Amino acid sequence: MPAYEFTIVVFCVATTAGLVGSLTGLGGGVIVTPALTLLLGVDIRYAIGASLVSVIATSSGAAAAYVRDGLSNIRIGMFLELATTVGAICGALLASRISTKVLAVIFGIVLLHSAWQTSQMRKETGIPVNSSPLADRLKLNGIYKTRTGSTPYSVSHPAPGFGLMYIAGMLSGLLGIGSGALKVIAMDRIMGIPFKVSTATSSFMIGVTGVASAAIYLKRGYIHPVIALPVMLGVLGGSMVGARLLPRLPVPLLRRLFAVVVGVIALQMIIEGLRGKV
Amino acid sequence: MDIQDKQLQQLISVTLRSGVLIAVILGLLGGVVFLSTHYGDAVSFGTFTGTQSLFASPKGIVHEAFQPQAQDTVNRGLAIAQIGIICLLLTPIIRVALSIVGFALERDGIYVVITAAVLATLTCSMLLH
Repeated sequence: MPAYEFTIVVFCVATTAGLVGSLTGLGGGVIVTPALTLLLGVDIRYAIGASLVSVIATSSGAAAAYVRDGLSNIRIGMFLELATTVGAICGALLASRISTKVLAVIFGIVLLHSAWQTSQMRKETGIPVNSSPLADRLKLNGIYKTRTGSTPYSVSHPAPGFGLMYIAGMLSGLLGIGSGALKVIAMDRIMGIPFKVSTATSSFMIGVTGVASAAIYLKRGYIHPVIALPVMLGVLGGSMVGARLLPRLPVPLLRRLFAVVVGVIALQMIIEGLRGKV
Repeated sequence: MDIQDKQLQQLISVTLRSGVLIAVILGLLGGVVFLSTHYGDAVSFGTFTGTQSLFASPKGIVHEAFQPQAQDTVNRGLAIAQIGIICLLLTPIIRVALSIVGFALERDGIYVVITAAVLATLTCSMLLH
């Protein structure tokens, strides 16, 4: 394919991925990789390298806004980044030691799980949890501002949350994704952190986690500008447009619709991996 | 949260945005340099060449971008784009470093240690092969 055509096609695919990623809450990175490998026949290692760069760009853009709004909890983020960064390094080192077929299958499974998770209607638990002694010691409890005032919250089970974050970091390094879904599970469901704070803090953490594996990806040649550049610009643009459209669209309907599409893509990824075609 | 914290959060916010902005600007610039002369080059990413890539080491990238006798605009354009990407990758690291300063100003010893450990982990990742 001529360079200009390749650039345009990749940019369009990445823009769509960014748009769908932000509308579903899945993130653009997790969608762009299967699109590149399945549609364009790009080697999965180039795809995950490019995807990781786009994930870091989107996260930095979003985190900048969240930091200003005071929604993200910097202490929770920093404490959990201890786990995600170590996990990310392990994942990135592992990525080059396992075959691309296995990578594709793992990718498919993770994508399938994320699609299922986002399609579920989220129950706003809102039940205050009892703070654990460790959370007290680490000053993880916080306050977040809502329209009606400030709501204090406590954090429970920091240790299991920390463990799950290591896994989230590892998957991020292995597959070049943000692992936002798993991060939110750890914070929202296990540690009892309010959903808004979980999402903001997760987004804030993704950049730092991503960088831990990106340095390794860069040295191993996973990040090639001809592909990483249009992917980064496309995903960034697509997710910015998505964020603008979000308040005006029937989100629950869209989520269910896209969950099916993403589910099919995930299955295809698994099948292609098993057939050894990736 | 005290005022120092607010200012620091502003600084972190600005750092993160600048990283993205620099990556986009250098990316567009490098992309235009590359495509303006090599729009017809055949590209294919079906096979992985890995570390043979010119863009796998910061030293190689800077060399490609700045060597004066570079008639090879392919590499020059792509190297500029890659420098943009590396700037993007550096911003979260700067963010972590700024957070250490923030926690030190708040005299929060535990978090100075935790944040320094995160920074050390990131530094390790850069030294690994």
